[in-house]
Amino acid sequence: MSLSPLIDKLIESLQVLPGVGPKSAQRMAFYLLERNRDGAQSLSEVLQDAVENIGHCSQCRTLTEHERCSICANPARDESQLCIVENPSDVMLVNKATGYKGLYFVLMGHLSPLDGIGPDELGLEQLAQRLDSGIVEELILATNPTVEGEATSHYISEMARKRGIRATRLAHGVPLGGELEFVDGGTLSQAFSDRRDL
Amino acid sequence: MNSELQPAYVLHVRSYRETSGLIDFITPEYGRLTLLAKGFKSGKARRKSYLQPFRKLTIAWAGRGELKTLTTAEEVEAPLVLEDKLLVSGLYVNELLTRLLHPHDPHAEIFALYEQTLRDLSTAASVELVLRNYEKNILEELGYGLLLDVDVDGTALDPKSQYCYLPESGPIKSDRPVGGGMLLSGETLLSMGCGQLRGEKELKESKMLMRFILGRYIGEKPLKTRELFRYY
Ligand SMILES: [Zn+2]
Repeated sequence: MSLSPLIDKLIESLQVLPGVGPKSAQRMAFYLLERNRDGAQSLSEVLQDAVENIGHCSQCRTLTEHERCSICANPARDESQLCIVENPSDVMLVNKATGYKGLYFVLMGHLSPLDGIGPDELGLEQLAQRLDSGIVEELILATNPTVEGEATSHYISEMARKRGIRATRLAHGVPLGGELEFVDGGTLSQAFSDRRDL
Repeated sequence: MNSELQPAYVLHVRSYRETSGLIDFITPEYGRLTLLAKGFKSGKARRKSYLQPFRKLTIAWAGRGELKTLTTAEEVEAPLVLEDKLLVSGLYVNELLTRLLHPHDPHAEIFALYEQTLRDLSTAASVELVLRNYEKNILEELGYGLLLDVDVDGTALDPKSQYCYLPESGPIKSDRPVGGGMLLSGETLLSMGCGQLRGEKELKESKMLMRFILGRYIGEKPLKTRELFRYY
C-alpha cells in the first residue's frame, strides 16, 4: 500500500545506506517524520553540505572538506613516518587505537588485478612522488590481512625498498581475547611463524 | 539442489552488498564457479579468514537459480605459505586460470595442475620455471598445446638452430621472423618441452614465447597481474 509518492521516495532513498532494507528504511522514514523532524532537518542539511563539500585530502587522500585534512595539516605530527591504509575508516581506527603520531596515506582500496585494479588505478604514482620527496623514513603498511591486501603491501614495500626507505607491516596473529581453538589455521600459522622472544 | 562436498580453491573474492561476498572457486568436477557467501564478513560467520586464495577447502553449495549459495566451507589442510613475490605469482596463476577457463567447464586435470602449481610455487627454487610450466601445461590441457619437439614438418628440433614459432602451427626453421611468428632458439624450445629451462637466455625466450602465445587466447585485455611484477 502506498501512502504517498514522497514517502515512498524517502523510503527508497534511505535504502542506499549499507545494511538498510525496505523494512528498516520504512521504520526510519516514519521515525524521522513523526518523532524527530528537527533531527531530520539537520540530517538533510548536513548530508547536503557533506556531499557538496567533502572531497579528498590532497596529501593523504582521506576524506575532508579542506584542501588538506586535519592530520596532514597538523605540524605536531611526525612526517618521517607514513602509515598506508586501505580506507579512510582505517585512519580513524588506527588513530584512535594507537598512539601513532605520524602521517597516513589512504589507498582507497587495494590492488585487485582480477578486478582490473593495478598500481596505476590505485594511484600509487602519488605515493611514489611522496616517497621521492625524501621526507619519509619509515613506511608502516597497515593494509588488510587478505591476499590482495598482502600483495598491495608487498608491492608498496618494494617501492620503498627501491628508494632505501624502511618498510614495516603490522604483526598478524591471534586476536586478543580469542581462544586458539577458534582461530583458523592460516592465522595460527602466521602467528606461529611471527612468534617473538619473551 | 544441494551439491556434494567438493575440494576447492578460492580464485577471487568480491564484496557483495554489505556483508556478503561473491567468490570464484575452482573445483575438479564443476570447473570454475561463482558462489554467494552470505554474511561472510560479519563477526558471527568468521569464515572470511580462510575464504581466501591459495587455501585448500572443502565446499558445498545449494540453490536453484543461476547464483548458488555457499553452504559449507572448511579448510582441509595447513595453508601454503605464499609470500611476497610468490604471492604475486599466485595471483598471476589465478588470473591466467580465470581468463583461460570458461565457467562451469569441468576439468579435473586443470584442478590437479592448479594445485600442483601452488605447491611448486611454495617450495620451488625457481618461480619462473614453475610459471612457464604452468602456462605450457594449461594450454596443453585446454587443447592449445605447443609443438616443442619437432618443427611444423615433423623434423626433430635442432638445439643449435634458430626457429620462428608460428602460434597456430609451430616452429619453422628460420633465422628471421616470418608470418607474424616469434624468433627463438631450438635449444629453448627443447628445454621448454621437457620443462627444464636453463640459464637467462632460455628463461627470457620462453617467457617471451608464452606471452606471445597466451596473448592469442586471453584476448585484448592484458593480464593485470603482470603490472605487479614491475619491481622484479
Ligand atoms: Zn591528509
